[in-house]
Parts: sequence; structure tokens; C-alpha cells
Amino acid sequence: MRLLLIAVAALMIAACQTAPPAGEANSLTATPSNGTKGFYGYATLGNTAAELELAPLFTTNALIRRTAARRLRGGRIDVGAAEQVQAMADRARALLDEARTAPKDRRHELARSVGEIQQSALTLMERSTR
Amino acid sequence: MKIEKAKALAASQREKCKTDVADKLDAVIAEAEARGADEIDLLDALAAEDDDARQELQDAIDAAHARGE
Repeated sequence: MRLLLIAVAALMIAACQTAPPAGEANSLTATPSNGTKGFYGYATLGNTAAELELAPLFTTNALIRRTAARRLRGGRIDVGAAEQVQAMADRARALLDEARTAPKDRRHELARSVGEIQQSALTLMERSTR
Repeated sequence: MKIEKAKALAASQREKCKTDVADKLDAVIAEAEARGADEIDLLDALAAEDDDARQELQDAIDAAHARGE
């Protein structure tokens, strides 16, 4: 029985140590569906999940800034409102940068905060638009 | 991230009626494809886009101040 347990443990360790395919050893973008196994697969899954969760928030941040710039140039918001939007987008960006490398739970928490800040910036911009 | 996966993300944003976000994602993906890439670091690309947008807004703010606003 003890030998059987040792054999099973050895097989599990060997499976976890399977090397990734050549040329992908340093890739952060591969997914588990490409045949990788073990710790490598779990790590890359996490990175892809972060990209999927955070990409729309990064995009929204840029769109908020560009919209504010366009409205300021068109005289539709005043410079004070534009500065507030810039400051809020900066705060959101700092949280996004932290979220990129944060563990999953912390990343979710940061993403929620970013969403709230961005919603506040959009509300501010709408209320300030003349 | 594989380009195809990034395209699926853009499509999902479009389905959620986040058209502006989807359009911007498609533009970033198209740039990567034009370079012949089959993978894209989406967050690096979008962080650079946010940097550009920040500069655009700052320029507009500075111009407004220069006009005495």
C-alpha cells in the first residue's frame, strides 16, 4: 500500500513538472488549451483571466479621457471638470496597474473600485456638460 | 493572449452594447495583426493607449489654461 501511494505521488509530481512546448517557455499569453500542464498552465490561465477582466476597464479609462478632451476643446465642459476627470482617471489607472499583478481576489476588488471611479467620472462629465 | 481570444473579448463587449470599448479593442487588435502578430499583450497595448489619452486630455487642459479659462 505504501509503495502504491509513493508511486502515485511520483506520477503526480512528474505530471506537474512537464515542460511547456519549445518556444513557449516564457510566454505569458498561452492558455491551458495548448497542451501545457501543471504549474505553467495554471499561471498562464491566471494571466489570461487578468487580461480578460482588465482590458475593458483599461479601454474605458482611455475613452473617458478622450471624451473629456474633446468636450473641453469644444467648450462643452469647463477646465475644472476636465481636471477632475483627469485626476479620477489617474486614480483608476493606478489601481489598474496594481491589479495586473494582484492575486485573483485582490484583482476583483480593484476592478470593482476602478469601475466605481470610472462611473463617477462619467457622471461628473455628464453633469458638467453644457 | 491569442489574437482570436482578444477578438472574442471585443465581440463580447459589442454584445453588451459597449460599442466604444469594442471599437477601441478592435483597433488595438488590428494594429497587432498589421504587424503580423498572432498574439497580443492586450494590457500593455491598452496601457499605452491610456497614456496617449492622458496626454491628449492634459494638452487640452493646458490649452484651456493658456486661454485664461
